[in-house]
Amino acid sequence: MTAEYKALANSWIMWAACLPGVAIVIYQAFLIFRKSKNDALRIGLNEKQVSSSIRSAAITSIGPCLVMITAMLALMMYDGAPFAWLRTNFIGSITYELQGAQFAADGIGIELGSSAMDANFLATACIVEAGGCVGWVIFSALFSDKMEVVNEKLAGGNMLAVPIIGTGALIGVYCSLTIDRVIPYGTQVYGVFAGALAMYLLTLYDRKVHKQWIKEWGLTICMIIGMIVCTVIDLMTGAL
Amino acid sequence: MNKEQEKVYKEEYLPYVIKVGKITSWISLPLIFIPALIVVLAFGARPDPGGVITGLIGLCSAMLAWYIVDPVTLYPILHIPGMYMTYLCGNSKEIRAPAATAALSSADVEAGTEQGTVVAGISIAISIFISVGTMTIVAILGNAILSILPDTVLHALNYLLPSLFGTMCMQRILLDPKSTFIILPAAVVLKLMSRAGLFKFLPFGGGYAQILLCVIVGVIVARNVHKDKIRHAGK
Repeated sequence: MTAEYKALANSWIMWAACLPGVAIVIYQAFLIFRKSKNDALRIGLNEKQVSSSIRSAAITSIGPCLVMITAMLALMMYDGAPFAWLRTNFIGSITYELQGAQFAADGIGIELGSSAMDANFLATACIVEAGGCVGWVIFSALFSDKMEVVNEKLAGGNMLAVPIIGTGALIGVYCSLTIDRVIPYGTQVYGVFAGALAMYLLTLYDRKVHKQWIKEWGLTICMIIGMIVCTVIDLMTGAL
Repeated sequence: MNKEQEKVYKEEYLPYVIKVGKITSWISLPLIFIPALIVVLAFGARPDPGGVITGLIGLCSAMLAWYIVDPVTLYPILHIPGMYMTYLCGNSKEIRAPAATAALSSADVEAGTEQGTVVAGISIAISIFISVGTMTIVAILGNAILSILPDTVLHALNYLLPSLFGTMCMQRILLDPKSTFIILPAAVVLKLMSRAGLFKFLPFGGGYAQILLCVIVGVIVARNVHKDKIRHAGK
């Protein structure tokens, strides 16, 4: 990245240009959060459930955000801090955005990260990375409120069956995501099993003691146990 | 849930969320192209037409199937409020779904119910505040953050997602071990089939087939394993 490109990509003008996109994300989340919190008690939840939802969501979100830091720093090298900030907060996923930057560079015929990156590349990357992700927003805007029809059909018209079928669908999702980390074999497999075993034991313990902190912190604790197990294995095998 | 609660949910909460979700989603579409416009107007840039077309074709063809598969597979946990927020902010599987899962568990509420929908709305909004805040700090402080963290911690972060998914998988398994007895081996078989390239004939390379089929298997298995319970619930 040349000094000229770095100055352009990190200019206050780019920060100002990227701000509206992030602002709409926060605004939407704020409106829905406020409505959800205000109506929660009227829909049958109690204060304890609302506050524990907030705490556990906050605690669980921090870990994955830390994972994104290293990938975001890579994206900042190609797109500059403002646009990387927009892309990770607005219809973004770190893995897709890095692909988007690569596709933009390939399209122009330059090497990503090289001194060939200039304003023309940044403009191209801005269009490609943004354009590649609008499909999700369009699908969501058109069909989110109609997904209940899909649920009804899957439940055979019996809405009381929805949680049972929903659980089956989620087991399918998480089995697929987890198997992707088990095959092919590597150190991460131990993290998968250590996290799973820790969750199993913690859940059995919670069924006896019924402690709220286990429900709020359990996911994070088990995740950290998995990470520690993998790191220890890497230390023992000399991989670290 | 009593009639009054159901009335609030169906006549006040959902219509508001749908209205806000739709309006903000459509408004967001032109906003995402403002940076490109500014680079052209303020810095005199000329986007390469060939580069744009090649890049868009490459990226969109890789993502196209996921525009549908990702929301369909995660809808059971995100639900309507979660869908609008997740597909505006992003990071559906890494941050939003785990946050919603944790919140549903801690509130002791089932996904897919009215209370579950509200909990999903609250939890995903919180996860967005956290992730936007974190990414803002990273964008401002940049490399200084990486220099503070010890190498061991940076290395451990590579194993966060595998550990997280293993944990979340077990959490779901414990809710329905009978269904898992069938779904988990099916997921292994589907993974091996995917690795063997058996889904490559599908449109856009079939990379989405594994997770989509796992969801379909999950739904079918759950319906059949619990058919007596479902029949009883319908009476």
